[in-house]
Formats: sequence, structure tokens, C-alpha cells
Amino acid sequence: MASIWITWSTVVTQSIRIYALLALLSFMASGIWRSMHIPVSAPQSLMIHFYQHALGHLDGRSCPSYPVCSLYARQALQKHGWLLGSWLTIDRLIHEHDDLKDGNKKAEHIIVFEGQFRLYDPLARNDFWLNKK
Amino acid sequence: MRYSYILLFFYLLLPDIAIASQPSHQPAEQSAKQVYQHALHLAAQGKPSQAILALQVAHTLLPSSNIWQERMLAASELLNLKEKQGGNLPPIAKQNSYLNLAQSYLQTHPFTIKNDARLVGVLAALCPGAGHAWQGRWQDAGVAALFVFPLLILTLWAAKRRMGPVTVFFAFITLWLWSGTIFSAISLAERGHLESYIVWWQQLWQASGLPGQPW
Repeated sequence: MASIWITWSTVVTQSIRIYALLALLSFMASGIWRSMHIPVSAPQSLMIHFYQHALGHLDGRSCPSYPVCSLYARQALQKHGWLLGSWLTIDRLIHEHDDLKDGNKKAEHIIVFEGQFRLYDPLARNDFWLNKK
Repeated sequence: MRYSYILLFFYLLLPDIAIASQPSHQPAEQSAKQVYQHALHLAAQGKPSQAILALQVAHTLLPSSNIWQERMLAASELLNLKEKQGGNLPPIAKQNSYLNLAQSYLQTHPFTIKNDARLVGVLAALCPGAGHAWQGRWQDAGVAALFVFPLLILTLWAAKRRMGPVTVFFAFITLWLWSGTIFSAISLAERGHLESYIVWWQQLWQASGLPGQPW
């Protein structure tokens, strides 16, 4: 009888510990989520936030365009939803190579940002035709 | 003098204008010039419909002897052309030296579509990267091909091995990336079309001899 009671109390104690650990982790996760300012309605932004806050700093700000590709992708997803937004992001990743070639550079699309020359390529430059009648 | 009062009244109705800076008596020439400049400023700010309206109303108010009346009409026609992205000016009942100059420029320099978006889309669908290559964007074509071909090979390999859900997963990723490269090719054709149209239209405006730059 005593051994059953000991086993039962161990199970309960262990369950309470796991419960408390999960509650703490959930609280921390919600805190991190809140600090990242991710709207609940846009879970597709999570990957971009992960890139911006965790991975982006590892390789430095290497994007030659302005706004940077991650911000552009975020804007595209917020404005057009995940499918069109992701296509616009793919388009940005593809077209910046030839846009940066000397022959294709146009003076009105080159700006100086934080002391560096950047290709000014906002979302409006690429998604205007989606709203064309 | 009567026209200068009407124009001054209309000018004060336009937004973003400091009323205090207006002198009480202005010749019609000066008021018309201010309306014209303000309309061009609106067009440059991305409000072409407001600019066209201002120019058209001012055109109807001004006497035919006033040089600005001719300019208002020509400017509104050219802004209208840009709004519709048209390649031809409508016939004008009255002689207008600015529009005549624009018309003669149009005859020697018609706007031609460089890359048809539909053709580019079909090419990109047939072979990933071909749509970009058609537009002379060879590096972009290489990137587009790199996006699609590895996943396509992986999907075919998984299908050959009868990997079931794994094949479906790879197939969806390939579909997404392939459609993305087609979208990119079409988007670049549309963007290229608009940018070359704007350059052509700016040259048309300069050829017409109209003062100011509404861009």
C-alpha cells in the first residue's frame, strides 16, 4: 500500500513539475512573440522574423537593395498574402542580380543609405501591375 | 481683368496654397501661370487626376488669346495620355502649337512594346529562366533556373522511387518555385514596359515644348 502511495505521489510531483515547466516555457514564448510584434493574423511572418532577429545578424546587412529583402518580403506578405507575397519575394531575389549590373543601373534607383549605395527597389515598383485594370 | 479675378478665385480653391502670400491684384497671366505650376506640382506628387481637372477647368476659364490656355489644354492632354498609357493623342479641334509639336514627335518616335508579358510568361513556363533570358536578363535567368531545376530533379527522383508523400511534398515546392519564376518574368516585363513608357512620355513632354516637369 505504501509503495503504491509513493509511486502515485512521484507521478503527481513529476506531472506538476512538467506542468510548471511547460507553463514557464509558454510564458517565455509568449513574451518573445510579443516583443517581436508579430500580428496573430500573419503567422507566415514568423520565418521572416526569425531571419531578421536570429539569422540576419550572423551574416551582417549584406542585401544591396533598399528596403532589404527581408523587410520587402514582410511588406509583400502583409499586403498580398502568402502566395502573391512569396512570389514577390522570389521575384526580388531573382531580379536584383541584373538590376545591380552597371548597364541596368539607373540614377533614380540608386540611393545612399547608411553610407552605402543601395538599389532603391520598393514594393510599389514591382506590384503596381497587380492592381492594373 | 475679369478673368484674373476668376482665375485667382479658382487658384485659392486649390489645396496646399498659402493664401496670405497672394497679392490682391494679379494679372491673368500671373494667375494662370500659378495654376499651371500648381497642377504640374500635383502631377509630380502622384495626383494626376487632380492636376488634369485643374488644368481643364483653368482652360475653360481663360480667354483664347491667353498663351496659358493653349498650354493648359496641351498639358492636360499629355497627362491624360500618361494616365491611360496610350500611344496616340486624340485629334484636336483647335490649333495648338504644343500638341502639334508632340504629334510630330509621335510620328517619328512611336512607343513600341519591348517585351510582351504574355510571351515572356509562356517562355518562363516552358523552361524556367527562359522568360528572363528573353528580356536580356541572363543572370536572373540563371538564378531562376537554379531555383527550379534542383527541386524538379528531386521530385522526378522521388517519383521514380515511388516515395508517395515525399514526392507530393517536393512536387508542391517545385510548383511554388516554378510559378514564382513565371510571376517574376511577367512582373519584370510589366515593370520594364512601364519604365520605358515613362521615359518615352517624358521625352514626348519635352518635345512638346511645354514648360515645367510634372515628374
